[in-house]
This record gives sequence, C-alpha cells and structure tokens, in this order.
Amino acid sequence: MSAPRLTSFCLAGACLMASCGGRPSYWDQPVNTSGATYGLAGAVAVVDDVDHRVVLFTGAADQELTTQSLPIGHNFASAATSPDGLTLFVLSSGDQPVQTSNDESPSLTVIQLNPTTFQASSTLYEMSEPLSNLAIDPTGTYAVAYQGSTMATSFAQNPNEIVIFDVTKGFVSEAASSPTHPPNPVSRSIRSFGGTPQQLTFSPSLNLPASISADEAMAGVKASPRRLLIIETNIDLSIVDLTHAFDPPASPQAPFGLAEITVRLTSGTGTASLTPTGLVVDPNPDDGRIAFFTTGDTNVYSLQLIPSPPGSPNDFNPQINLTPVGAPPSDIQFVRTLDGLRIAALVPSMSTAVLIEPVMSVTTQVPLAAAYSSMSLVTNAVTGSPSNTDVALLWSAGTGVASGVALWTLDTAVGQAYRSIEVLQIAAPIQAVLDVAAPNDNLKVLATQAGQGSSAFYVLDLVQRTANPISTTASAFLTIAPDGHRMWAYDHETDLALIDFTTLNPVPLTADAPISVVYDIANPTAIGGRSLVAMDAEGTFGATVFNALNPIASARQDVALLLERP
Amino acid sequence: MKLLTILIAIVPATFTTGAGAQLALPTQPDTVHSEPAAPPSNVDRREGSWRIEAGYRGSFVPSSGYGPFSTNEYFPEFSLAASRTLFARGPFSFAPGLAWDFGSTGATARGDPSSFSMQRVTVSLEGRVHLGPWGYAYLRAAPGAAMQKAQIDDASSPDPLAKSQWLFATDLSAGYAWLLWPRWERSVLEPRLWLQGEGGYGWVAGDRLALAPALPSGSTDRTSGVDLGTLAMQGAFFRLAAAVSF
Repeated sequence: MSAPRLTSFCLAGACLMASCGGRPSYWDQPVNTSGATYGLAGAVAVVDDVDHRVVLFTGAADQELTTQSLPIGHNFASAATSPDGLTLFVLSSGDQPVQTSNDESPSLTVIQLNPTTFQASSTLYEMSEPLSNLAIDPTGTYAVAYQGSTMATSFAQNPNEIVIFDVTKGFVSEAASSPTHPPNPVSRSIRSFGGTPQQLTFSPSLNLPASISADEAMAGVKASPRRLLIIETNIDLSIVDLTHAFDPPASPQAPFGLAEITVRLTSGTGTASLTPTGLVVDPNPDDGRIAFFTTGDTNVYSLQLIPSPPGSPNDFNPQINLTPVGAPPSDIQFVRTLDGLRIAALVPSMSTAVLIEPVMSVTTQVPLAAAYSSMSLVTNAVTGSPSNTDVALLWSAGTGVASGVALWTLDTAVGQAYRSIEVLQIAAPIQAVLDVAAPNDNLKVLATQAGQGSSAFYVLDLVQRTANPISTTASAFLTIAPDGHRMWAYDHETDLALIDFTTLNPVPLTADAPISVVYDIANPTAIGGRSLVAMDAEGTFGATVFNALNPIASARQDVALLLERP
Repeated sequence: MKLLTILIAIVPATFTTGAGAQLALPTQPDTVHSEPAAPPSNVDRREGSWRIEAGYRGSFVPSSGYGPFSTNEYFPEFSLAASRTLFARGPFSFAPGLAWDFGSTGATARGDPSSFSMQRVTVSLEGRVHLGPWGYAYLRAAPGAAMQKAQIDDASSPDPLAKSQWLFATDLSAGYAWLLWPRWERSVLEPRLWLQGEGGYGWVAGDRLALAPALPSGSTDRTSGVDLGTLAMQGAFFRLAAAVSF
C-alpha cells in the first residue's frame, strides 16, 4: 500500500471512529430552573421535566440531603400535594400527538412518602386525553384531572372532560375493565350548556338525600354517606356523585358512574351569564347544603340536596334558594349562631355582612367597621374547644387600604349585631392571612403589602387579641412551618430570619445563595428533627440547608442538585 | 477536520524536531549495534538508536462517567514520545522510552459548561520486528500514571465544581512504522523520517467523580458537592504519528 493511500485510509478510519458513540440525552437537556418545586412533609420535590422524573430531597444527618429519583410521564403539566404533605400528584400530558409506539400516553403519577422514613414509592395511572389541571381531595381518596381555563395541549380537545382517579386503588386500564370491574381512572364529559369547568370542590362526607320527609322515609328513601365533586363552570354548576363515580354504566354507551346534576344559572332566554364563585359546603353531614354566589348579580344561592322524584338517575336533587344581599358579595361561609345555621355573606361595597337563614331566606344585616372582603372561621382557635357557635376572622386583602382585621362572634350576631364585632387595628394593608398549625393554631400571620423601603408582617393572637408586628428591611416572603412552632421570613437575596412563635424574636440568618423559596421539612434522622431547605433556583438547583430547630451556624450548602448521574 | 488540523500542525513540528536531532548527530554515540563485529557497510542503521515521535491519539471512552464532558464519547490527545533502542538481535529489537499524552475536551452537562483534561506519562516498552526498507511492526506496553482534571461550572455553586486526581494507567498496543525517507541507505546513520499508526487499548483506573467547589483555604463554609459516578478512561484508541530516528 502506498504512503498516501495508507494515510488516507488511517484518516478515514479515525474520522469514522470519532463520529461514532454518544452520551445519554440526559446530559444534553438543560435544567429548567423555573420548574416547580414542592414542599412535602419530609422532602422537597423538584420536577425535572426534561429527564421525566421527580427528584425528592430528604433531610439527612449534618444537614446533608439525600436524593430519591422517581420517574414521571413525559411533558409535565401540573402537580399538587396532599394536605398532609405525604403525597405528590404529578400530571403529565404525554407525547402529543402519539406517533410511535414509544410515545407515552398522558398520565398521573402518585408519589407516596412513607410517614416515618419518607422513602417514596410511586403509582402510575394512564389517561386517554391530556389534561392540564388537578384537583385533590382533601381526604386523600380522589384526584380529578380537568382542562379548566388552561390552553389546550392537543389540537382538538374537549374542555368538559374530567378524569376521576381513586388513588386508594391501583391503575385499571379501560381494556382490562368490565361493567363489574370498572377502570381506574374513569373519564366522563360533563354536560355543558356552553360552559367549561373552572373550579372543582370536594365535599365532605354528606348523608344524602337530606331532609327526608316521613312520607319519603315510609316509601323507602334512605340517606347514605356520599362524597360529591362540585364543578363550577363559567356559567353553571355541576354535581358529580363521587361515591358512585365507578358504578357500572346505565347503558353500554354511557360512562361509568351516575349522571351528574347540572344547576343552570341562566334561563336560556337571555344573554346575561352568571359565573358561580365562592362555593362552600355546609360541614354538617345531615344538612346537605351548598351555597355560592356569582360574579354577575347580588344574590346568594343556596342548594339543599333533597330526595329526587322517582325515576331520577340520582337519589338527590338540589332545591334552590336565591337570597338578595343588596350588592355583590365577596365571600360567604356557613356559620352557626345561637339562632341556628346561617349563611354569612360579606358585602364590602356596603361595609356590611348579611346573615341569611337558609330555609326561609330571612336576612340580618350586620354593620362592619370597614369594607372587609374575606372571611375564615377561627372558632376552634379562639375558643380552644368545640363550640356550638362560630367566630369568624374578617379582613380585606389586596385593597391597598389599611382596614385591620375584625373578629366576628356569631353567637348573638342575629339579635345583637352591634355587639358581635371586635376590631384589631393593623397599620398596613393586608395582603394575605396565613394559618398556623397546631399547637399554635390560635395564631394567624398577616402578610402586609410592601411599603416604601420597608415592610412588616403581624403575628395575630386570636386568644389574646394581640397583633405583634415584625419589621423587615425589604418585602418579605413568609413560610409557616407545618409543625406550627415557627415561621420563616426571607427575601430573594440571601436574607433569612427564623421567628419562633414562643418568643417572636427573629433570629437573623444568611443563606449561602439567593433564595427562591424555603421549605421546613421533617428530618427523619432525629426524633422531631427538622430541616430548613432554602432553594436556590440557579444552575441545576442548589440549596442551603439549616437545622430548623437550632439554625445558627448549622448551614450547609448543597449545589448542583440535579446534576447527579442519571 | 479537527484531526486533520492537528496532524497538519504536528508534521512541521516533527520536522523541526528532526532538524534539531540532525544537528546533534555528531555527539550521539553509536552505542547500539546489533552486530558489532560485522563490517560497517553491513550494518542496517535504518532503525537508528534514538527516536522521537509526535502525533495524534484518539480514544473511545464508553464510560458513563465521561458523559458530562463529551458529546461523542471520544477523547483526542496530543502524543509525544522518545525511545532508544537498547537491544537488537536479527530483525528484532527492544526500545524502551517515555511518552506523554495530553488532551482536553469540553461539553455542556445539563446546561452547565464542563471540561475535562488528562495528562498521561508512561514508560513505553516496545518490541519491534524490522522489515528492512519497509519499516517495522511493533508491540508496545506502556504503564504509567494519568492526571485527570474534571470541572463543571454550575451557577448554584460558589466556585467551579472540580476534581483532580493522579491514577494508574497503562496502554497495550500494536502498530506499524513506515519508513518514509531516506529508505535505501541502510548503512548510513542519518536522520530518517517515519510515519506510523497503531491501535490498542488504553486503561486508566476508575475514579469516583465527586466534584466539589474549591473553596478558599480557611473557609468555614460547609458545601456538599455532586457525585457524577465513576469515570473510567478505558477503551480502544488509535495513534497516528510522525517520527524521526537518528
């Protein structure tokens, strides 16, 4: 072989060899640091969508973080945590449109933490259509995927489709199901008169039908416990019986479960539309009442789910009451007074509250010291023991007006309205009211709107009727520890402060990197141990980890959290 | 193209090295003779006693730990080696030497700039079979040590995440050296130019890539690094080189 030929041969071989090989595509995918992070009871979850996984960071000894990686479906859509922080629900859109056998279907991944060790396990539920939003049952039995007002993820989509998952059971595909062995999840399309689901509410267990008359009881009508899914669309209301959502279909073409009940808010003869909002469910399981108001009129709507006429698909049917309150309400609650159950409605444009007797729609106006627009029940926190009458906390969020807060004692509110309101002055406009968990559930934290160059928040003691201000040099973000013992204030620089609810003395701290969000999580390496994880959404995510119980000089910086090998 | 560029750069450098060697020739003792008793005109001096080579080495590294630093599992290096024939009998000779390989590469790892470099110093033990004017074939074993340096710049870290480590290394290879010029003056000891190619397997001990930020000395910060798994720079390689013997 001649020299030029040999050289050419070697060069060609080298180039050929150099061009072969390749690394896992994992390394080619930049980390999306705007991706979601979630605080669980004993871990911080980071969604690494490009690698189709959720990475859980759990506290370890000496402020180290241990890592657990769990696969999720392709194309993350949304996620939500359970109220107890032990479950993370991750909704994925899958590969749309499906073109090859390797493309994935839409799915829900349920990641469950062991309550002691925080070791995670996951269950995958496949779906037929991609949906963007999740509603989570507070009792942990159901999850519902729906499209809502989010932009569709596929070319053509039915926005009224909902998918109901029973997360206490495993995945059963439609192909493997039969009328006696329902699939899990079940999907159904909500009957629509032009509206699309906007907000989903899970009821507590209700004994339905309610208000059974003696004749009906004689006729064999009997109440049984039900869970309901109440869907607020932008023009009406639908009620789905979740307890029977997996029942065999009434006909071969029908979906599993009983048909939903639609409460139309428009007559069908006019063009005006009313959008339901502020829906509440009476927690008394025997009352079977739901109330809501709309964005387009001045009425409060109450429904009682009474026995339905024979032959109806459901054994309950809503009986509707409309009660005008004089102006558009901003918030409503079912409250207990010495005169019985009432629907309390705040009407900020009139600086009043209205108490509505739900059966006869008799109203009582209660003048307020300010235009309060939001309300939450704080009965147990104030009285410290179960009570037959409620206490409500009133405030006005986001108005830019310093109107303070008020405690509304509802026992004699119907007869002696003028004696039922107690005002606590707060110097700054309130932005949000944050709950504190037991044992300090008598406290509320009032986040205020940022002032010029400085800010403050207040720790409100509902028993002592005090509001302690804590000043900060910059607008502060607040995180309440789930164990109720402390809170954290931080900015998006490196400033951090611990406020112990026992002393209310801030302990200033500094993170090693800019803070995007902080999570106070249980640390399983010590009994009662807790870690404060201050996330840094730079690079591939970092975190400064403190001993949450004794944070001084305890910080450890963990860097490049999502750079670990695949 | 990159390979070609490197070769073009090497060849002139090699010629320069050869010229330098030619100037030094009169001082070089002719210490190695396969047949010292034979008349000078019968001695084949084409293999020379000293040899300097420079070239390009390409390694194929399938190690998963190499993924953050390379998009194609390929590691290019510059090679420089010197050897001296210490023993010769008939067509066979043995030439130990020293070799130095240096290479660096870079990529992005999940969006972070990454870089990797390695210097390898080996003692080459080379057995040759001479084929007259056609050059010679050889087998080479080259134990030694390699200095690896890996680095990733991540914005969440106060300093680049890096690790440097000396590791045991060895190469086993076979190749062929083709005498380019002059080919026929067998009895004259003069600089000769060679082209050679070899292939083999390179082995560097595996190393746990626990990268950590290099904090200033005395820093009280406690920082955890990142574990990228085990990097084993092991795999087939080839080398193309130009050499001068004298």
